[in-house]
Amino acid sequence: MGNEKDPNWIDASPTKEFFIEMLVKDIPLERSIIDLVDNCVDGALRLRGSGSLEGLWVRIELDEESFRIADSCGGITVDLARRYAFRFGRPEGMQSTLRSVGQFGVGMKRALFKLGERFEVRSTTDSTTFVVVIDVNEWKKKEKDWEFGFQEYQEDLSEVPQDKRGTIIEVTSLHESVSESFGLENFRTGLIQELQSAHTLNIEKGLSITLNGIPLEIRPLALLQSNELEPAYREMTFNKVLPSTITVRMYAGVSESKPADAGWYVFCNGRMVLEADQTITTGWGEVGGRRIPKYHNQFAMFRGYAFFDSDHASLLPWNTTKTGVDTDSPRFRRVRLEMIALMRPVIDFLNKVDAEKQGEGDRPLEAALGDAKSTKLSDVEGRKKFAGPKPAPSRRPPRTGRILYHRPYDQIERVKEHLKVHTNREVGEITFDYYLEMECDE
Amino acid sequence: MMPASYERIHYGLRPAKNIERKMLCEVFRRLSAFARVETYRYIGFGSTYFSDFVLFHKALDIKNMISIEHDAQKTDRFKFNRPFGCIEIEFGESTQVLASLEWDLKTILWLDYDSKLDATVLADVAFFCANAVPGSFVAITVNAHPDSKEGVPPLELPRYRAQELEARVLKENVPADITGKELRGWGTAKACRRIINNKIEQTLNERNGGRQAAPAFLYQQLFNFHYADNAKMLTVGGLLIDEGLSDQLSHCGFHNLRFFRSDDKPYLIRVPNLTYKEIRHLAEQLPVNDPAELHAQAIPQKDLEAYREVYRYFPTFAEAEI
Repeated sequence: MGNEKDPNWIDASPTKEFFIEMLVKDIPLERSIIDLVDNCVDGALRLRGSGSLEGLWVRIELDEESFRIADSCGGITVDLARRYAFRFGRPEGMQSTLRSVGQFGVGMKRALFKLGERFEVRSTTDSTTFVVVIDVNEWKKKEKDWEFGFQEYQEDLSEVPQDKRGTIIEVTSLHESVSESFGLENFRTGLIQELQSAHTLNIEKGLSITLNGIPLEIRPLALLQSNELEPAYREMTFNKVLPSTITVRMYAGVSESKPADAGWYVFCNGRMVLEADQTITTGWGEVGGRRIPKYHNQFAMFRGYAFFDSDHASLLPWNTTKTGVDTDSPRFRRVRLEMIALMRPVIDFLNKVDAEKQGEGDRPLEAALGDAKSTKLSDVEGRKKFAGPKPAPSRRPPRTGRILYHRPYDQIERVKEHLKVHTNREVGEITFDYYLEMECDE
Repeated sequence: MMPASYERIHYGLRPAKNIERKMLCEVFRRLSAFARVETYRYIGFGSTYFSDFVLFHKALDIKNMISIEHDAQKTDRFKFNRPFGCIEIEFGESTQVLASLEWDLKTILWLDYDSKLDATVLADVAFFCANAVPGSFVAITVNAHPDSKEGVPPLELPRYRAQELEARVLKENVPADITGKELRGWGTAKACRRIINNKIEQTLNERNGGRQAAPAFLYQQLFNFHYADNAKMLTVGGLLIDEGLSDQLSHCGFHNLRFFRSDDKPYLIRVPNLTYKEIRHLAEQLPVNDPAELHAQAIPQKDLEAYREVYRYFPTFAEAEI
């Protein structure tokens, strides 16, 4: 190591100012708060493994003055805090939470710097407790010194009662723009909706999350299922990835017709990273081997779900802000081919449903959709390929032609009123039939 | 119980709407602390009757007037019915017309819809807040009758109402604690006010972004009317100012108006049901501070109180040969 007295010495260390600036620029405010919730969820996973999260809670309180997030998810040990939790980036050799959602080692710090100029972290586990208080401006002044310090800590407690364990983070001296956003109800509404999406699965597993006392609510992920209508399910495992495996579970099928909700949902270790995706990322508009049309509202019933899980979060194909998938990941590209294969029969089926709507015959597909039950994913049986009912055999209808013409609105309205009908089409058809019957003798 | 017919008021006359219009006029008169009222521009939806235009031209001498008319089929009819030469009619949807105008004038904009609050209305509100100059004024009227539909059982109504609201104004604008139960009665009007105000605050927050030393734009709500000539209606509105204008704002004395409301508490416009003789009898004694001072004869207490509240704005209708 050189130093300033060494003539070969060149200073390339980052300034704190630059470092913080770069760190917080990358992430929208809402997302940085969701990162903090991710840390709580990791705590919950350390406590419960893959079991139910019932009884655990995360409470967020925010207003123009301050931000506070508290959880009952087991707390951070003094040792973890001392060596890892406040590090920028995850050091080699750290024992990470299995199936964690906070894998990059930036979430908490990034959020704290993003929010304000003074923060306080208090955490209590079954045997340890600590308090860290940081004044960001003071800390920035100590240019070379990257350490934080405990304000107090204890490591030798015995059996701290359950209800005392957990972590509380408080941020005050909020940045002006943060304070302004927190004062807007529309910001809070948006944040609640993003949290609901990101943590759908954890909320479904029983984790209670509230924002300013409002409980987050979700609708369980579901697909329509019946004897005639069977969603597709497929599982893949990547074994040869060190140091652990990745499993991928995929479902494709149909649900309520809702353009805003249609598309693919992708989860990494239970954290939603893509919601209702209707883009090329999940295969829409793919022109390769199995052609998939671009998303269109006739596919408003389509739902696809892909769950990537791994003990080692770093193996999963998500980006660092967890707002999308890493499309360069070879594993994701491999899975995407499967997603496209699963999706194709559903698209074909929805095309038939659309054709049935345009036609005039029976509507067995519509009837079958009406009879199918919305079924939670965990109860979906699933088969290798999506199966839908058969459309009505096409009776050859008489050849028809289309007549298109324009007339002034007020005249059309007069005829409508006279005929007591509501659509232009009816006006055209009835007046045509009238002429045919009155004037065109066989 | 349905009131007997003499206790009901003919909907076609829309007395509450009439009262509201005059109350608004009184608000506008007080804008003179910002600029002479006659220099304001008025933008509204005049339809074929132009009632608001007639009142504001006659009472306030506003000459720069634009009526937005979305029915572009019967242009001649609207033009024919224009009561004053100073009224311009712009045909098209409000969103397009607003965007086509210059916004360097102090403006009074009344988005007087009969339809329900939807994303288009919010877009108009946002456009105003993003573009109007300080001292401008906006009022928004929407139908806020709770949604219902034949075939939806009563227990399902809350869910149905929440769904309909979300479909119209879009999910991101519906506060998370609105679950549907609170949308009954005047609850839909309350929710609509909140959604409108949130959009205003959100837009001003964006407009204030990166302003550096310039004073921040603020919105001051001045009224929050509930009324029902038939369907339940909401009119909410206020002033767009910047920090530098707070003094002028206090000079306007809006808070002295009986119907001034700066928060979620509504002012319900109640229409008394009185005969001409009763009206004259009461008017002779007004104003009084305490309704108990009024010699009431056989007039019901609720009509008496309602009349005392609105007598200066209360329309009397008579059949006339014109």
